[in-house]
Parts: sequence; structure tokens; C-alpha cells
Amino acid sequence: MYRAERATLDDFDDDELLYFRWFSDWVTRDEKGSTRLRPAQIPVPNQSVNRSKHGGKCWDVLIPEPASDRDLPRRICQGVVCVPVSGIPEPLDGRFEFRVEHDPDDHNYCHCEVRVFDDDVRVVRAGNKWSVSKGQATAIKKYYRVAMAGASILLWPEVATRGS
Amino acid sequence: MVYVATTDTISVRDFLPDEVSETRGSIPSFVGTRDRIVARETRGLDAVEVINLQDAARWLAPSLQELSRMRRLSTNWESSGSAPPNRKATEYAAEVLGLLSNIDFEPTNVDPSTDEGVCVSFRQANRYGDIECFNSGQILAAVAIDGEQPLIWDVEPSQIEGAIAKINTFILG
Repeated sequence: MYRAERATLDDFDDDELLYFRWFSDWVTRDEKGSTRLRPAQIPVPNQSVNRSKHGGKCWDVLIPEPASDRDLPRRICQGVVCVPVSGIPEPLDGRFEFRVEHDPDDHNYCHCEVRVFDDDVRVVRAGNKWSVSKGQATAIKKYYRVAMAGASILLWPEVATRGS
Repeated sequence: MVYVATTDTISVRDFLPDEVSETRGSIPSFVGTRDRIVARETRGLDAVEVINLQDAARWLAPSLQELSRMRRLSTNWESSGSAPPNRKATEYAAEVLGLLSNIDFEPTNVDPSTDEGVCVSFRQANRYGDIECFNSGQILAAVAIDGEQPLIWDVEPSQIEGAIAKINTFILG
């Protein structure tokens, strides 16, 4: 969905769904057949997600980006995961806050990122250097990945695998 | 197929590529088969470590083979630029697996991590736990109930066994 000069809108409700794509070999199936995400593969920081508000559809996350790479055929066959905004992890140690922010692309108005903040200052990585200690950064990312995996639901019949 | 070398304390120290044997000069670095004794030469002939995988839990060898495969992942294996697990991460992960084998506590998954390392994880219904060994040498453990705040803690190499016990108690209730 093209942006078409629309504004950035950080008007998230707790029950708004966020979507991201996922490989089918990055899930665990239990004996009852239900699937769970494997936290080790959740990207962080700045996880890209698409919002459902303002016309966003779950399959938008499978649409290849313009001038994208050789992964295109595999990408469009990935599964789709959803998580409600309320599923974004609580702050870590009461300090590091995870926040979804609308970050529209020209070709993808519903694009957002889940970002990390330390006392309202965004935690960033420049090259391999973090604006917090390396140990803190690792702990923040791990906490986020485990919490997000526990809050996420696999929505879409998954096809592509990391190995395909 | 060649697998892994461990010490007689069942602490897994290394793993092998899939080759049947690998030679360094005229000295075999790794010899053995999946079901037989496996030996590893590290710093000379006097440093050969020997194990018998027949004594290990049945899931150990495939898990170690998975570790071996991870070492050969390309950079950017998950499309966001992460490096594959390095030797340090896989050695610690192998040690975790060896200790798990001692109590036959089978991990649900052994995965490369987007944060550059190896994640040995467990799931039982809505309970999740893991030990993640990073390329930096850092080790973190986690336990969580789905939808609730995870508990994350640092693990020194000497504390791996304690972390496993804690996760085992959490997962198995």
C-alpha cells in the first residue's frame, strides 16, 4: 500500500494487530499441533512489522520490496505472524522500554518498527557499537525475543523454510 | 559420519564437521564414527580426548551435528546481516548439550540466533526456557510463561549446570 503522502500516525490501540513474516522452520509444534515461534530468530532491535490499522492487511508483509534481492520467491511464500500491540514486552528492569512506532515507507504505508528506548532516548546501534553496554544490549535483545515469541501467533499457512 | 569429541567427564568440548576424518598434516585430528569412539587431537597427541557416544543420550549426536551445520552458515543467513555461530558459541553450546545429556533433558530446539550465537531451548505447553551462548562468550538463560514477562539471567560457564537445573525445574514443573 503506497504512502501517497499520508502522515505518520502513532495512534496505536492495545488491540491493534502487528504483522511480520516468518519461516516455517522457525516454529516449534507441540504434541497438540499448535505452533510457537522460536525466539532465537526474532529480529531485534528495530523489528519491522506492519500495522493493521489504516487499511493494513496481514499479507502486506509478504509483498516484496521494490528493487529487493534474490530472496523474493522465498519471501512471498513465508508465513505471517501477528502480535497485538499489547503483546509488546513490558519495560526491562523498569528502564528499557519497547515501543512500536509508525515508520511508513513510500511503498508500504503501514510499516512500523518496534524500537528500544532508555529513559525516552532511543537505543541505537551504529555499526557494531551500541549506545548501551554490550552486555546490556544482549540482555535487552534476549528479553525482547523471548517475550515477543510468547505473545505471537502464527496466522498464515507457512510454506517457505530457511533452508529452501 | 564423524561426530563429536567429549572428555571423560562428558563435558562436550568440540564437534566435528561431517567428514569421516579430518587430517592435520599426518596426524589424524578426528577419528571415529557416529556409534563408536571418537577422538580429537587438539594441541598435540597428548591432548587427545576420547568419548563413546553410545553412553550419551540418543538425541545428543543429532543435536551436535546440528551445531556443526550452524558453523557453516553464511553471514547474513537470516537476511539481516547476522554472523553465524562462531567456535566459542558452539563450544559452550556443546558443553550445554553434554550436560543436558547427563540428565537426559532433551532440548526442543537447537538454533542459530539472530543475535549471533546458539540457542538451546525447551518448550512444554506454555512454558519456555533456554540457554543462549553468544559469539561474544556471554551466556544468558531465560524462562518464561507465554504472555508473561520473561526472566533473563547471566550464566558464567561454571554455572551452566545450575542454570540447566533451574530451567529443568521450571519446564517440568
